[in-house]
Amino acid sequence: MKTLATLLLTITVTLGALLCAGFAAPQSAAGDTRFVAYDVFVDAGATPLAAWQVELSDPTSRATIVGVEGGEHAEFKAPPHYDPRALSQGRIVLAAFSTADALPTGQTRVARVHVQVRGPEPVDWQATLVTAGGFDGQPVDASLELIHSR
Amino acid sequence: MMEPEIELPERLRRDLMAASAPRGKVPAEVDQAILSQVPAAPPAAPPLAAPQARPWPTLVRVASLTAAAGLLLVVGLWWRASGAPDLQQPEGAPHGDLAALRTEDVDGSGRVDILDALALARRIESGTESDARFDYDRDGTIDRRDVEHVAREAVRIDA
Repeated sequence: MKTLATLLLTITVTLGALLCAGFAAPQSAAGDTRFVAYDVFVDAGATPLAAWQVELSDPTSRATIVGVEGGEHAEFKAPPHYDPRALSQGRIVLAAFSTADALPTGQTRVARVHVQVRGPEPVDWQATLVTAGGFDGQPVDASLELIHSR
Repeated sequence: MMEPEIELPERLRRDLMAASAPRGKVPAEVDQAILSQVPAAPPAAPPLAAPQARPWPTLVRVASLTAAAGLLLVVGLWWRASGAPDLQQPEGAPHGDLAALRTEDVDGSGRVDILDALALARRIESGTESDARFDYDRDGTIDRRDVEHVAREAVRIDA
């Protein structure tokens, strides 16, 4: 009788431990997931920026793009073009253009990307400026910067 | 339930028996006269040809070939609609690096990017664009929707 009680107690404790571990694991994974935003800046110097296109990707696949916002200048305030399939992925191509006369010069925020990140930050983004264009539609020299939004 | 038997007068009973008795035989002349009034029957139709064996094997072959051709056509159209040029793009290319053959390469740079959308938008605004190649939605006019098409192509990613 005593042996049977010991066996039942052992089984109960083991099952309890397994259940606790099963519930604890997802909580731990969820705790490592955060939502952050990155600002995309393009700087074409003194040349008015009429068009830009960048590609962002996370080779570690820890980042999932969940949303895209427009930039700060009036001509780029609307969300840029992007492929909706990029959402829920770690790679996206963003682009926008304007035919207006009043265009931004110098460093300007052209977009903000909202990201779900798993694991530690920062995300090692691969950010590429595919092209930037001036008022006449010709390519212009420009630089790209991706900054963690505060 | 039995019906009560009715006692008929003798004369009435005889008359009823006479009325229900069989009539006399119709003379043969009357039969002939009646038959002569019937119009002649139309000539008999020729006998049907003996049914030939149905050429099922040929039909099946033709149907199979037609179905295969239709399937190939559907697959081809689907392939084209879903962006066949993707096969020509290197893995990871953000846009059409081999886009010289694509009509979305408006500025002829050899790839499709946002500058093509900008170029087309400028041409439309200046009223100088009438090239039907750029009427992507085939609505008869080259307008903002065609520019949007080029922009979408520029940012398209391979699934």
